[in-house]
Amino acid sequence: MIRLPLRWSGALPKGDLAPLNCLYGGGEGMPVLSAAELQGVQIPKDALWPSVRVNRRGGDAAGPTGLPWVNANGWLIRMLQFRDATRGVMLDVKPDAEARPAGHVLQVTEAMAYGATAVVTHTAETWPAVQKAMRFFLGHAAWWAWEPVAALAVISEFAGEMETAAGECLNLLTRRQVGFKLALPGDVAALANVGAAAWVSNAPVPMEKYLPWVRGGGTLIVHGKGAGRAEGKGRIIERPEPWEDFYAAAAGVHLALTRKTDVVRLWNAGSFNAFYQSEPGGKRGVVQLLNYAGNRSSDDTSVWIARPWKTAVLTTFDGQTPLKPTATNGGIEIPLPPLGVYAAIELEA
Amino acid sequence: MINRRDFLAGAATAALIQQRAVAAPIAPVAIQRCRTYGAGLEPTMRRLFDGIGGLGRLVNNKTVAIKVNLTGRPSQRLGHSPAELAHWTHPRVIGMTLHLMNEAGAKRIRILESPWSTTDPLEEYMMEANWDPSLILNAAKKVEFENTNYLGNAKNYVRFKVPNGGHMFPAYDLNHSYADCDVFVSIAKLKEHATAGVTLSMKNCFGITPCTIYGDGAGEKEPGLVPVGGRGSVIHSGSRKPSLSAPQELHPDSPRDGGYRVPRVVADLNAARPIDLAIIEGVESMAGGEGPWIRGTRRCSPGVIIAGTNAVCTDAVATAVLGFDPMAMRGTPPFETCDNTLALAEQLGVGSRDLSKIEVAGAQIADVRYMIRKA
Repeated sequence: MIRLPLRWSGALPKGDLAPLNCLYGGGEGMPVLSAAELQGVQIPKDALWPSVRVNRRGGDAAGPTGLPWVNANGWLIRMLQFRDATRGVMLDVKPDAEARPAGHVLQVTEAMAYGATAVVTHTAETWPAVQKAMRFFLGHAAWWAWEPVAALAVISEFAGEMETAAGECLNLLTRRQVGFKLALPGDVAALANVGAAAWVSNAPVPMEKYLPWVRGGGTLIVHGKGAGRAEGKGRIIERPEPWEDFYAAAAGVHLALTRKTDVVRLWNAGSFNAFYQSEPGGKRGVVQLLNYAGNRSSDDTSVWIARPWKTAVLTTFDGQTPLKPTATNGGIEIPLPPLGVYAAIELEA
Repeated sequence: MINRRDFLAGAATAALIQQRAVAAPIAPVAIQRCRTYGAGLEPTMRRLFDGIGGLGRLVNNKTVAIKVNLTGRPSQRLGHSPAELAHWTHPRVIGMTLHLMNEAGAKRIRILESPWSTTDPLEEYMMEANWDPSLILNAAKKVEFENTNYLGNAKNYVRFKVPNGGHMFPAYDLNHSYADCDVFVSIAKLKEHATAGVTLSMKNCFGITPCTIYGDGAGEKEPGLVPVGGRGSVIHSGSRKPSLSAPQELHPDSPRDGGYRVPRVVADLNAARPIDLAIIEGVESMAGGEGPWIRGTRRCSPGVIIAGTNAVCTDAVATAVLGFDPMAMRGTPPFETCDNTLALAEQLGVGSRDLSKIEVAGAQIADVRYMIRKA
């Protein structure tokens, strides 16, 4: 059973607390998450309260692209899940002083959209919406087993000296809506379904292992002098940006990959991240949209998905609405209604 | 309402016109009604170019540089509208222009733009907006793209001196592509502009200034390596100088007001790098400003394309098509809070804005007039 913990704050809140099923940090009235169970999950210390980062003047802090910085954990969850698939991921972040009610919903939503859980800090104001969000994801738990739709494999140890650089690379690729999967150095089999791979490691590239994949048509992106060469049907591209220059490195990978390989494009969605998955066999897919601004979007958001899916349905915590995709540029484009913290576009071939 | 500063700025402009007016050339302008970007676009554009003497005399065996308008970020739209239906030059108009130039014997065509805050190739920028750049690349032989918001493929920037003195700067340092061509074309969108009143073929060339020199994050002494931000601080507000490697302002004590500065810089740029062919695309457009970031903007459908070989004449006709008087001074629509770019360019000898002297071919202004303020 998935553990959905409530942060113990001295007394059990009144009312129906399902699907919360355990207490985090001691207490009584509900089973306490035991030390042994805590050993069985990964609780990252560097998780953040999900939000749009605010600058000193109280406005949205902008990144180098002019888009708002977001404090997001999706990349971190994916990295931890990859490092140890046997242990679930649980985010333990207390709400910050400026946390808005929608932020509590976003915290649970972000964790569960990526197949993790979060320790819930109960407030009477936020509980009904948080409860609705949790029940929604339990009802869509099948998505947790679906594969990310990826054009790129990020190859790294995701640990040791490369943990920060590789993590930031994942964070910023997510921000750029790049579809990626994770792979360990030397695991060429993991590249079977992607056209490109980025070597985010300081270890020398074992080229003899990767050349057959490149010659078969793959693009291998490595750090180097900025040169590139054809190799069989594929290419090896050197990017000059050091991995420690996170933004430049992620932008360089995206450039080497080219936007031809984009799997999702968003408009008027500066505070959104997308997570695109499909079920094994590819008959169904879902694009989950997370709005880190935490409020209802005021702009008209549009999305393009790089596959001509036949049907698309907008699913939120409140219900479903059929969408009207337009075939364009090899995929479908969909105008979306104003969105709140979360929406999923369910797709069928 | 006009305040004292606006009044004085307008009076100063009027005085300058009298003091510095130089002979302004005149050339015919063609107008064609065009309601869609579909099958009718090709014959419409053929008639358009025939109306100004055909493309052959302009581009045969020439290297052509085309500045298009891809203002703002590709991830930003006006509502759900793709950028090309609101604030960007439509790719079909660009592609059709290339196709017809290819037929007319153009040797090589370069598509130029200074995309927002990036050194990425233009193709990547277009793809972010969901364009397929191959449609443009394949529209003619030897088509290239160049991002002109930084040094690009050259070793040095090229200095363009402003004839007849210049209003704001004596010269501008630009990407080599604006020099390495025989023919310079501006394909603009027919729009209003929050700072300059209207944005047509001349205002489109505001974007030829590289932000590595004229941008918010420009290098202090030397050009930056990458463009950062827009031109708000250097050109709009004058709160900082361009990189010191570039020519500096002629009148550092002049108003620090975008309505004063932007029209002057646009006029300067058009005198320094004259447009040989101005194409203004208003099949679909937007009203109330130049991009979705301006409050109160909305989609509109003027249904018209305009072209001419003199940018001031062409912009004058386009201004009239939008329901404004190209002779209007500051304080009068569409120049309520700015000086008239057309007047300032006319002073520099770029061309005439006097409609009584400009021959109009094809449809007439009255036939296609589109009162954009009422759209």
